[in-house]
Amino acid sequence: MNWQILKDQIFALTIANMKSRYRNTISGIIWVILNPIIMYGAQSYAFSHILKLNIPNFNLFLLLGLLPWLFISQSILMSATMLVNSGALLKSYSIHPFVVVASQVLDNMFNFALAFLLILIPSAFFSDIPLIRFFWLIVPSFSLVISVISLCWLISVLNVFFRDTAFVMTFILNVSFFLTPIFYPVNMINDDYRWIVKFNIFHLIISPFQNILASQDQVLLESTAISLVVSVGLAATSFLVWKWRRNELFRYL
Amino acid sequence: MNSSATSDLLIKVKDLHLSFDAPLYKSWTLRDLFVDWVKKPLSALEDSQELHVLRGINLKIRKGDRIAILGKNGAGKTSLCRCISGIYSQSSGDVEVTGTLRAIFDTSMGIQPELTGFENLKLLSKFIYPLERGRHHDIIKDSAEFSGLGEYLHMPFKTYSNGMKARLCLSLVTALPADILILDEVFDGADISFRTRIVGRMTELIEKSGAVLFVSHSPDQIRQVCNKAIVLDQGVVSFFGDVEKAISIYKTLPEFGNPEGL
Repeated sequence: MNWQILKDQIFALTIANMKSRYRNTISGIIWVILNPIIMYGAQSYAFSHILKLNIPNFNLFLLLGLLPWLFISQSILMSATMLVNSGALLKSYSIHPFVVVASQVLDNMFNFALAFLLILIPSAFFSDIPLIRFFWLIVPSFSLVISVISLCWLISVLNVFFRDTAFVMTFILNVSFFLTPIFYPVNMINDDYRWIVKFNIFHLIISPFQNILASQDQVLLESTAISLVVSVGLAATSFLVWKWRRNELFRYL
Repeated sequence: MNSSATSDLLIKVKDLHLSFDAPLYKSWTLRDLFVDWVKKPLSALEDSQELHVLRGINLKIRKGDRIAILGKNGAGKTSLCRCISGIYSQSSGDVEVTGTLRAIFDTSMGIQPELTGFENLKLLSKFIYPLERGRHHDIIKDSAEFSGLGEYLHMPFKTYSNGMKARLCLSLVTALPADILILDEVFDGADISFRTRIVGRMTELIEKSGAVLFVSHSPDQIRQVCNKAIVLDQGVVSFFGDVEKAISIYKTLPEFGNPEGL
Protein backbone atom coordinates (compact mmCIF):
# COMPACT_ATOMS: atom_id res chain seq x y z
CA MET A 1 0.00 0.00 0.00
CA ASN A 2 1.41 3.39 -0.85
CA TRP A 3 1.90 6.13 1.73
CA GLN A 4 -0.48 8.58 0.08
CA ILE A 5 -3.39 6.13 0.39
CA LEU A 6 -2.39 5.24 3.94
CA LYS A 7 -2.25 8.94 4.87
CA ASP A 8 -5.64 9.67 3.28
CA GLN A 9 -7.24 6.77 5.12
CA ILE A 10 -5.68 7.69 8.48
CA PHE A 11 -6.94 11.28 8.23
CA ALA A 12 -10.39 10.21 7.02
CA LEU A 13 -10.75 7.81 9.95
CA THR A 14 -9.36 10.34 12.44
CA ILE A 15 -12.01 12.88 11.39
CA ALA A 16 -14.71 10.19 11.51
CA ASN A 17 -13.57 9.18 15.02
CA MET A 18 -13.77 12.77 16.20
CA LYS A 19 -17.20 13.29 14.61
CA SER A 20 -18.42 10.07 16.13
CA ARG A 21 -17.12 10.90 19.58
CA TYR A 22 -18.36 14.47 19.79
CA ARG A 23 -21.61 14.21 17.85
CA ASN A 24 -24.46 15.91 19.67
CA THR A 25 -22.27 16.62 22.66
CA ILE A 26 -20.39 19.88 23.01
CA SER A 27 -19.52 18.82 26.55
CA GLY A 28 -17.60 15.86 25.06
CA ILE A 29 -14.95 17.97 23.36
CA ILE A 30 -14.82 20.46 26.23
CA TRP A 31 -14.28 17.62 28.70
CA VAL A 32 -11.51 16.03 26.62
CA ILE A 33 -9.63 19.35 26.59
CA LEU A 34 -10.45 20.24 30.20
CA ASN A 35 -9.43 16.83 31.54
CA PRO A 36 -5.64 17.29 31.10
CA ILE A 37 -5.89 20.93 32.18
CA ILE A 38 -7.64 19.94 35.43
CA MET A 39 -5.12 17.12 36.02
CA TYR A 40 -2.32 19.63 35.52
CA GLY A 41 -3.95 22.19 37.81
CA ALA A 42 -4.52 19.66 40.60
CA GLN A 43 -0.99 18.25 40.47
CA SER A 44 0.56 21.68 40.18
CA TYR A 45 -1.27 22.76 43.33
CA ALA A 46 -0.54 19.55 45.23
CA PHE A 47 3.19 19.45 44.50
CA SER A 48 3.97 23.14 44.79
CA HIS A 49 1.67 24.17 47.64
CA ILE A 50 1.03 21.02 49.68
CA LEU A 51 4.27 19.07 49.22
CA LYS A 52 6.16 22.36 48.69
CA LEU A 53 8.65 20.96 46.15
CA ASN A 54 11.31 23.58 45.67
CA ILE A 55 11.93 23.37 41.94
CA PRO A 56 12.56 26.45 39.78
CA ASN A 57 9.80 27.13 37.20
CA PHE A 58 7.90 24.20 38.69
CA ASN A 59 4.56 24.89 36.98
CA LEU A 60 6.22 25.00 33.58
CA PHE A 61 8.37 21.98 34.41
CA LEU A 62 5.30 19.99 35.41
CA LEU A 63 3.38 21.07 32.31
CA LEU A 64 6.22 19.99 30.00
CA GLY A 65 6.34 16.56 31.64
CA LEU A 66 2.73 15.88 32.54
CA LEU A 67 0.96 16.76 29.27
CA PRO A 68 3.21 14.53 27.10
CA TRP A 69 2.81 11.81 29.74
CA LEU A 70 -0.99 12.07 29.63
CA PHE A 71 -0.86 11.90 25.84
CA ILE A 72 1.32 8.77 25.99
CA SER A 73 -0.64 6.97 28.70
CA GLN A 74 -4.12 7.75 27.41
CA SER A 75 -3.20 6.88 23.84
CA ILE A 76 -1.78 3.52 24.96
CA LEU A 77 -4.83 2.70 27.07
CA MET A 78 -7.29 3.75 24.35
CA SER A 79 -5.56 2.00 21.48
CA ALA A 80 -4.55 -1.22 23.27
CA THR A 81 -7.88 -2.86 22.44
CA MET A 82 -8.41 -1.10 19.09
CA LEU A 83 -7.36 -4.00 16.87
CA VAL A 84 -9.35 -6.57 18.84
CA ASN A 85 -12.43 -4.34 18.80
CA SER A 86 -12.03 -3.69 15.07
CA GLY A 87 -11.41 -7.35 14.21
CA ALA A 88 -14.60 -7.86 12.21
CA LEU A 89 -13.99 -4.69 10.21
CA LEU A 90 -10.37 -5.53 9.46
CA LYS A 91 -11.31 -8.99 8.25
CA SER A 92 -14.10 -7.65 6.05
CA TYR A 93 -12.25 -5.15 3.90
CA SER A 94 -8.61 -4.74 2.93
CA ILE A 95 -7.98 -2.08 5.59
CA HIS A 96 -4.47 -1.92 6.99
CA PRO A 97 -4.72 -2.39 10.78
CA PHE A 98 -2.19 0.41 11.25
CA VAL A 99 -4.80 2.88 9.97
CA VAL A 100 -7.12 2.06 12.88
CA VAL A 101 -4.43 2.53 15.55
CA ALA A 102 -2.79 5.61 14.01
CA SER A 103 -6.13 7.39 13.66
CA GLN A 104 -6.89 6.81 17.34
CA VAL A 105 -3.52 8.30 18.34
CA LEU A 106 -4.00 11.31 16.05
CA ASP A 107 -7.45 11.90 17.50
CA ASN A 108 -5.84 12.01 20.96
CA MET A 109 -2.98 14.13 19.71
CA PHE A 110 -5.29 16.93 18.55
CA ASN A 111 -6.99 17.06 21.95
CA PHE A 112 -3.74 17.12 23.88
CA ALA A 113 -2.07 19.60 21.53
CA LEU A 114 -4.99 21.96 22.09
CA ALA A 115 -4.90 21.57 25.90
CA PHE A 116 -1.09 21.85 25.90
CA LEU A 117 -1.06 25.05 23.86
CA LEU A 118 -3.84 26.59 25.93
CA ILE A 119 -1.64 26.41 29.02
CA LEU A 120 1.77 26.69 27.40
CA ILE A 121 1.28 29.94 25.43
CA PRO A 122 0.37 32.14 28.43
CA SER A 123 2.93 30.33 30.64
CA ALA A 124 5.67 30.95 28.07
CA PHE A 125 4.95 34.68 27.94
CA PHE A 126 5.05 35.03 31.71
CA SER A 127 8.21 32.95 32.20
CA ASP A 128 11.82 34.12 32.06
CA ILE A 129 12.73 31.42 29.50
CA PRO A 130 13.64 32.81 26.04
CA LEU A 131 10.67 32.31 23.70
CA ILE A 132 12.89 30.78 21.01
CA ARG A 133 13.35 27.77 23.27
CA PHE A 134 9.64 27.02 23.16
CA PHE A 135 9.79 26.78 19.36
CA TRP A 136 12.32 24.01 19.82
CA LEU A 137 9.45 21.88 21.21
CA ILE A 138 8.44 21.12 17.62
CA VAL A 139 11.35 18.68 17.32
CA PRO A 140 10.62 16.52 20.42
CA SER A 141 6.90 16.72 19.57
CA PHE A 142 7.69 14.98 16.31
CA SER A 143 9.57 12.20 18.05
CA LEU A 144 6.82 12.00 20.70
CA VAL A 145 4.12 11.37 18.07
CA ILE A 146 6.23 8.78 16.22
CA SER A 147 7.05 7.03 19.51
CA VAL A 148 3.45 7.00 20.71
CA ILE A 149 2.09 5.69 17.39
CA SER A 150 4.77 2.97 17.42
CA LEU A 151 4.14 2.01 21.04
CA CYS A 152 0.39 1.92 20.51
CA TRP A 153 0.83 -0.17 17.37
CA LEU A 154 3.09 -2.61 19.21
CA ILE A 155 0.79 -2.92 22.23
CA SER A 156 -2.40 -3.27 20.18
CA VAL A 157 -0.75 -6.06 18.15
CA LEU A 158 0.37 -7.75 21.37
CA ASN A 159 -3.15 -7.47 22.75
CA VAL A 160 -4.46 -9.58 19.87
CA PHE A 161 -2.34 -12.50 21.06
CA PHE A 162 -2.44 -11.86 24.79
CA ARG A 163 -5.80 -10.45 25.73
CA ASP A 164 -4.71 -9.12 29.13
CA THR A 165 -2.13 -6.76 27.59
CA ALA A 166 -4.42 -3.77 28.16
CA PHE A 167 -4.75 -4.65 31.87
CA VAL A 168 -1.01 -5.22 32.22
CA MET A 169 -0.34 -1.87 30.53
CA THR A 170 -2.65 -0.10 32.99
CA PHE A 171 -0.52 -1.50 35.80
CA ILE A 172 2.77 -0.64 34.08
CA LEU A 173 1.62 2.92 33.37
CA ASN A 174 0.47 3.45 36.96
CA VAL A 175 3.87 2.34 38.25
CA SER A 176 5.76 4.24 35.55
CA PHE A 177 4.10 7.52 36.46
CA PHE A 178 5.97 7.48 39.76
CA LEU A 179 9.20 6.04 38.36
CA THR A 180 9.42 8.59 35.54
CA PRO A 181 10.72 12.06 36.41
CA ILE A 182 7.52 13.92 35.54
CA PHE A 183 6.78 15.91 38.68
CA TYR A 184 10.35 15.76 40.00
CA PRO A 185 13.63 16.42 38.17
CA VAL A 186 16.22 13.70 37.51
CA ASN A 187 18.69 15.34 39.90
CA MET A 188 16.33 14.60 42.82
CA ILE A 189 16.98 10.88 42.28
CA ASN A 190 19.72 9.36 44.41
CA ASP A 191 22.95 8.92 42.37
CA ASP A 192 22.89 5.16 43.00
CA TYR A 193 19.56 4.79 41.18
CA ARG A 194 19.86 7.50 38.56
CA TRP A 195 21.08 5.05 35.92
CA ILE A 196 17.63 3.43 35.96
CA VAL A 197 15.98 6.39 34.22
CA LYS A 198 18.40 5.97 31.32
CA PHE A 199 16.44 2.80 30.49
CA ASN A 200 13.03 4.34 31.11
CA ILE A 201 11.60 4.77 27.64
CA PHE A 202 8.97 7.25 28.81
CA HIS A 203 11.64 9.46 30.34
CA LEU A 204 13.70 9.35 27.15
CA ILE A 205 10.69 10.57 25.15
CA ILE A 206 9.57 13.23 27.63
CA SER A 207 12.90 14.65 28.86
CA PRO A 208 13.60 16.97 25.86
CA PHE A 209 10.33 18.77 26.64
CA GLN A 210 11.48 19.42 30.21
CA ASN A 211 15.01 20.23 29.08
CA ILE A 212 13.97 23.43 27.30
CA LEU A 213 14.19 24.78 30.84
CA ALA A 214 17.79 23.55 31.21
CA SER A 215 20.48 26.19 31.33
CA GLN A 216 22.80 24.34 28.95
CA ASP A 217 21.89 23.91 25.27
CA GLN A 218 23.90 20.70 25.12
CA VAL A 219 21.55 18.96 27.56
CA LEU A 220 18.59 19.92 25.39
CA LEU A 221 20.28 18.83 22.17
CA GLU A 222 21.44 15.52 23.61
CA SER A 223 18.04 14.61 25.02
CA THR A 224 16.35 15.59 21.75
CA ALA A 225 18.75 13.44 19.75
CA ILE A 226 18.12 10.50 22.11
CA SER A 227 14.34 10.91 21.80
CA LEU A 228 14.65 10.87 18.00
CA VAL A 229 16.73 7.70 18.14
CA VAL A 230 14.19 6.12 20.52
CA SER A 231 11.32 7.01 18.18
CA VAL A 232 13.11 5.46 15.20
CA GLY A 233 13.91 2.37 17.28
CA LEU A 234 10.31 1.99 18.42
CA ALA A 235 9.01 2.47 14.87
CA ALA A 236 11.41 -0.18 13.56
CA THR A 237 10.56 -2.61 16.38
CA SER A 238 6.81 -2.25 15.93
CA PHE A 239 7.14 -2.65 12.16
CA LEU A 240 9.24 -5.80 12.53
CA VAL A 241 6.85 -7.35 15.08
CA TRP A 242 3.96 -6.63 12.71
CA LYS A 243 5.83 -8.21 9.80
CA TRP A 244 6.73 -11.20 11.95
CA ARG A 245 3.22 -11.93 13.21
CA ARG A 246 1.08 -10.40 10.45
CA ASN A 247 -0.65 -13.61 9.34
CA GLU A 248 -1.21 -14.85 12.87
CA LEU A 249 -2.68 -11.46 13.79
CA PHE A 250 -5.49 -11.79 11.26
CA ARG A 251 -6.05 -15.38 12.29
CA TYR A 252 -6.42 -14.46 15.97
CA LEU A 253 -8.40 -11.26 15.52
CA MET B 1 2.70 -19.55 -24.00
CA ASN B 2 1.88 -16.91 -26.61
CA SER B 3 2.09 -13.17 -25.94
CA SER B 4 -1.65 -12.49 -25.81
CA ALA B 5 -2.12 -15.27 -23.27
CA THR B 6 0.67 -13.74 -21.17
CA SER B 7 -0.88 -10.26 -21.27
CA ASP B 8 -4.24 -11.73 -20.20
CA LEU B 9 -2.69 -13.26 -17.12
CA LEU B 10 -3.94 -11.39 -14.03
CA ILE B 11 -2.99 -13.72 -11.19
CA LYS B 12 -0.14 -16.20 -11.11
CA VAL B 13 0.24 -18.31 -8.00
CA LYS B 14 3.25 -20.60 -7.89
CA ASP B 15 3.84 -23.25 -5.23
CA LEU B 16 2.07 -21.20 -2.57
CA HIS B 17 2.42 -22.41 0.99
CA LEU B 18 0.85 -20.76 4.00
CA SER B 19 1.39 -21.85 7.56
CA PHE B 20 0.88 -20.28 10.95
CA ASP B 21 3.16 -20.45 13.92
CA ALA B 22 1.23 -22.10 16.71
CA PRO B 23 2.96 -22.54 20.09
CA LEU B 24 3.04 -18.86 21.10
CA TYR B 25 -0.71 -18.99 21.53
CA LYS B 26 -0.81 -21.80 24.06
CA SER B 27 -0.94 -18.93 26.53
CA TRP B 28 -3.72 -16.47 25.90
CA THR B 29 -2.64 -13.97 28.53
CA LEU B 30 0.68 -12.39 29.46
CA ARG B 31 0.19 -13.68 32.99
CA ASP B 32 -0.13 -17.28 31.74
CA LEU B 33 2.90 -16.77 29.52
CA PHE B 34 4.90 -15.51 32.48
CA VAL B 35 3.85 -18.49 34.62
CA ASP B 36 4.72 -20.89 31.74
CA TRP B 37 8.18 -19.38 31.46
CA VAL B 38 8.76 -19.61 35.20
CA LYS B 39 7.65 -23.27 35.24
CA LYS B 40 9.60 -24.17 32.10
CA PRO B 41 12.24 -21.52 31.29
CA LEU B 42 13.46 -23.17 28.09
CA SER B 43 10.01 -23.61 26.58
CA ALA B 44 10.63 -20.69 24.19
CA LEU B 45 13.49 -22.62 22.60
CA GLU B 46 11.41 -25.69 21.81
CA ASP B 47 10.76 -26.51 18.17
CA SER B 48 7.85 -24.50 16.87
CA GLN B 49 4.77 -26.25 15.64
CA GLU B 50 3.20 -25.04 12.42
CA LEU B 51 -0.36 -25.16 11.17
CA HIS B 52 -0.32 -25.74 7.40
CA VAL B 53 -3.26 -24.04 5.77
CA LEU B 54 -2.25 -23.94 2.09
CA ARG B 55 0.10 -26.51 0.56
CA GLY B 56 1.68 -25.95 -2.82
CA ILE B 57 -1.09 -24.06 -4.63
CA ASN B 58 -0.48 -23.36 -8.34
CA LEU B 59 -2.93 -21.21 -10.27
CA LYS B 60 -3.08 -19.06 -13.38
CA ILE B 61 -6.08 -16.77 -13.60
CA ARG B 62 -6.71 -14.85 -16.82
CA LYS B 63 -8.96 -12.07 -17.96
CA GLY B 64 -12.51 -13.38 -18.30
CA ASP B 65 -12.08 -16.12 -15.71
CA ARG B 66 -14.85 -16.20 -13.10
CA ILE B 67 -13.62 -18.78 -10.71
CA ALA B 68 -15.59 -20.30 -7.87
CA ILE B 69 -13.59 -21.49 -4.91
CA LEU B 70 -15.29 -24.46 -3.32
CA GLY B 71 -14.30 -26.35 -0.22
CA LYS B 72 -15.64 -27.39 3.13
CA ASN B 73 -15.03 -25.31 6.24
CA GLY B 74 -11.31 -25.15 6.99
CA ALA B 75 -10.25 -26.04 3.44
CA GLY B 76 -8.31 -22.76 3.05
CA LYS B 77 -10.66 -20.78 0.76
CA THR B 78 -10.52 -17.49 2.65
CA SER B 79 -6.79 -17.92 3.32
CA LEU B 80 -6.12 -18.30 -0.40
CA CYS B 81 -8.15 -15.15 -1.12
CA ARG B 82 -6.29 -13.26 1.61
CA CYS B 83 -2.92 -14.36 0.21
CA ILE B 84 -3.86 -13.18 -3.28
CA SER B 85 -5.22 -9.88 -1.95
CA GLY B 86 -2.01 -9.26 0.03
CA ILE B 87 -3.54 -9.44 3.52
CA TYR B 88 -1.55 -12.57 4.34
CA SER B 89 2.06 -12.93 3.31
CA GLN B 90 2.82 -16.42 2.04
CA SER B 91 5.22 -18.68 3.92
CA SER B 92 6.81 -19.68 0.61
CA GLY B 93 6.04 -19.51 -3.10
CA ASP B 94 5.01 -16.59 -5.31
CA VAL B 95 1.84 -14.62 -5.86
CA GLU B 96 1.92 -12.21 -8.81
CA VAL B 97 -1.03 -9.89 -9.31
CA THR B 98 -1.44 -7.57 -12.30
CA GLY B 99 -3.94 -4.68 -12.19
CA THR B 100 -6.30 -3.33 -9.55
CA LEU B 101 -7.59 -5.80 -7.01
CA ARG B 102 -10.62 -5.40 -4.78
CA ALA B 103 -11.33 -7.95 -2.07
CA ILE B 104 -14.50 -8.04 0.02
CA PHE B 105 -14.92 -10.55 2.81
CA ASP B 106 -18.09 -9.35 4.54
CA THR B 107 -20.76 -6.87 3.61
CA SER B 108 -22.49 -6.03 6.84
CA MET B 109 -19.74 -3.97 8.43
CA GLY B 110 -19.71 -0.22 8.86
CA ILE B 111 -16.69 1.59 10.20
CA GLN B 112 -18.27 3.95 12.72
CA PRO B 113 -21.60 2.72 14.12
CA GLU B 114 -22.27 6.13 15.69
CA LEU B 115 -22.17 7.89 12.32
CA THR B 116 -25.03 7.79 9.83
CA GLY B 117 -25.25 5.26 7.02
CA PHE B 118 -24.38 8.00 4.53
CA GLU B 119 -21.30 9.05 6.50
CA ASN B 120 -20.21 5.42 6.69
CA LEU B 121 -20.71 5.18 2.95
CA LYS B 122 -18.38 8.17 2.45
CA LEU B 123 -15.79 6.69 4.76
CA LEU B 124 -15.99 3.18 3.33
CA SER B 125 -15.58 4.52 -0.22
CA LYS B 126 -12.13 5.77 0.79
CA PHE B 127 -11.16 2.29 1.93
CA ILE B 128 -12.77 0.26 -0.83
CA TYR B 129 -11.84 2.61 -3.68
CA PRO B 130 -8.56 4.21 -2.54
CA LEU B 131 -7.33 4.73 -6.10
CA GLU B 132 -10.51 6.44 -7.30
CA ARG B 133 -10.11 9.69 -5.40
CA GLY B 134 -11.72 11.82 -8.12
CA ARG B 135 -14.75 9.54 -8.40
CA HIS B 136 -15.77 9.21 -4.77
CA HIS B 137 -18.66 11.67 -5.11
CA ASP B 138 -20.22 9.70 -8.00
CA ILE B 139 -19.61 6.35 -6.29
CA ILE B 140 -21.32 7.53 -3.09
CA LYS B 141 -24.27 9.04 -4.98
CA ASP B 142 -24.78 5.92 -7.04
CA SER B 143 -24.49 3.59 -4.02
CA ALA B 144 -26.85 5.69 -1.91
CA GLU B 145 -29.49 5.63 -4.66
CA PHE B 146 -29.10 1.93 -5.38
CA SER B 147 -29.38 0.97 -1.71
CA GLY B 148 -32.94 2.30 -1.67
CA LEU B 149 -32.51 3.26 1.99
CA GLY B 150 -33.89 6.78 1.46
CA GLU B 151 -34.25 8.68 4.72
CA TYR B 152 -32.68 5.81 6.66
CA LEU B 153 -29.34 6.85 5.16
CA HIS B 154 -29.26 9.74 7.61
CA MET B 155 -29.85 7.58 10.66
CA PRO B 156 -26.98 6.14 12.74
CA PHE B 157 -25.53 2.95 11.27
CA LYS B 158 -25.87 1.24 14.67
CA THR B 159 -29.68 1.41 14.34
CA TYR B 160 -29.68 -0.56 11.06
CA SER B 161 -30.90 -4.14 10.81
CA ASN B 162 -28.50 -6.69 9.28
CA GLY B 163 -30.44 -6.51 6.03
CA MET B 164 -30.07 -2.71 5.86
CA LYS B 165 -26.36 -2.94 6.61
CA ALA B 166 -25.93 -5.48 3.82
CA ARG B 167 -27.88 -3.23 1.42
CA LEU B 168 -25.62 -0.29 2.11
CA CYS B 169 -22.35 -2.21 1.90
CA LEU B 170 -23.33 -4.32 -1.11
CA SER B 171 -24.45 -1.20 -3.00
CA LEU B 172 -21.04 0.33 -2.40
CA VAL B 173 -18.87 -2.68 -3.18
CA THR B 174 -20.70 -3.25 -6.47
CA ALA B 175 -20.34 0.34 -7.65
CA LEU B 176 -17.23 -0.07 -9.79
CA PRO B 177 -15.59 -3.00 -11.58
CA ALA B 178 -11.94 -3.95 -10.98
CA ASP B 179 -9.30 -5.91 -12.86
CA ILE B 180 -9.54 -8.58 -10.16
CA LEU B 181 -12.49 -8.96 -7.86
CA ILE B 182 -12.45 -11.25 -4.83
CA LEU B 183 -15.87 -11.86 -3.29
CA ASP B 184 -16.02 -14.09 -0.23
CA GLU B 185 -19.60 -15.09 0.64
CA VAL B 186 -20.79 -11.56 -0.06
CA PHE B 187 -24.45 -12.29 -0.80
CA ASP B 188 -25.09 -13.51 2.72
CA GLY B 189 -27.15 -11.14 4.82
CA ALA B 190 -29.11 -9.34 2.09
CA ASP B 191 -32.88 -9.66 2.39
CA ILE B 192 -34.75 -11.54 -0.34
CA SER B 193 -36.28 -8.50 -2.06
CA PHE B 194 -32.90 -6.79 -2.33
CA ARG B 195 -31.05 -9.96 -3.27
CA THR B 196 -32.66 -10.10 -6.72
CA ARG B 197 -31.58 -6.53 -7.46
CA ILE B 198 -28.08 -6.93 -6.07
CA VAL B 199 -27.46 -10.19 -7.91
CA GLY B 200 -28.30 -8.34 -11.17
CA ARG B 201 -25.91 -5.52 -10.29
CA MET B 202 -23.25 -7.96 -9.13
CA THR B 203 -23.54 -9.96 -12.36
CA GLU B 204 -23.07 -6.74 -14.34
CA LEU B 205 -20.06 -5.84 -12.20
CA ILE B 206 -18.55 -9.28 -12.68
CA GLU B 207 -19.01 -9.04 -16.45
CA LYS B 208 -17.19 -5.69 -16.48
CA SER B 209 -14.38 -6.89 -14.21
CA GLY B 210 -11.29 -8.64 -15.52
CA ALA B 211 -11.34 -11.74 -13.34
CA VAL B 212 -13.38 -12.84 -10.37
CA LEU B 213 -12.65 -15.17 -7.49
CA PHE B 214 -15.95 -16.10 -5.92
CA VAL B 215 -16.26 -17.98 -2.63
CA SER B 216 -19.68 -19.40 -1.89
CA HIS B 217 -21.35 -22.48 -0.49
CA SER B 218 -24.32 -22.00 -2.83
CA PRO B 219 -24.15 -24.11 -6.02
CA ASP B 220 -26.92 -21.98 -7.59
CA GLN B 221 -24.97 -18.75 -7.12
CA ILE B 222 -21.84 -20.40 -8.46
CA ARG B 223 -23.62 -21.66 -11.59
CA GLN B 224 -25.01 -18.17 -12.14
CA VAL B 225 -21.71 -16.32 -11.72
CA CYS B 226 -18.78 -18.61 -12.57
CA ASN B 227 -17.30 -20.26 -15.65
CA LYS B 228 -14.63 -22.30 -13.83
CA ALA B 229 -14.18 -23.67 -10.33
CA ILE B 230 -11.49 -24.75 -7.93
CA VAL B 231 -12.07 -27.37 -5.26
CA LEU B 232 -9.85 -26.93 -2.24
CA ASP B 233 -9.39 -29.84 0.10
CA GLN B 234 -7.11 -29.59 3.15
CA GLY B 235 -5.17 -26.71 1.62
CA VAL B 236 -4.58 -28.40 -1.73
CA VAL B 237 -6.27 -27.77 -5.09
CA SER B 238 -7.93 -31.11 -5.71
CA PHE B 239 -9.73 -29.98 -8.88
CA PHE B 240 -9.64 -27.00 -11.28
CA GLY B 241 -11.96 -26.82 -14.25
CA ASP B 242 -15.62 -27.32 -15.14
CA VAL B 243 -18.14 -25.84 -12.68
CA GLU B 244 -20.58 -28.78 -12.66
CA LYS B 245 -17.81 -31.30 -12.12
CA ALA B 246 -16.38 -29.17 -9.31
CA ILE B 247 -19.77 -28.98 -7.60
CA SER B 248 -20.18 -32.75 -7.76
CA ILE B 249 -16.67 -33.26 -6.30
CA TYR B 250 -17.38 -30.68 -3.60
CA LYS B 251 -20.51 -32.57 -2.57
CA THR B 252 -18.53 -35.75 -2.02
CA LEU B 253 -15.98 -34.11 0.31
CA PRO B 254 -16.10 -34.98 4.00
CA GLU B 255 -17.86 -32.40 6.19
CA PHE B 256 -14.72 -30.75 7.58
CA GLY B 257 -11.57 -30.00 5.63
CA ASN B 258 -8.27 -29.35 7.25
CA PRO B 259 -8.98 -29.07 10.98
CA GLU B 260 -5.90 -26.88 11.27
CA GLY B 261 -6.89 -24.53 8.50
CA LEU B 262 -9.14 -21.52 8.19
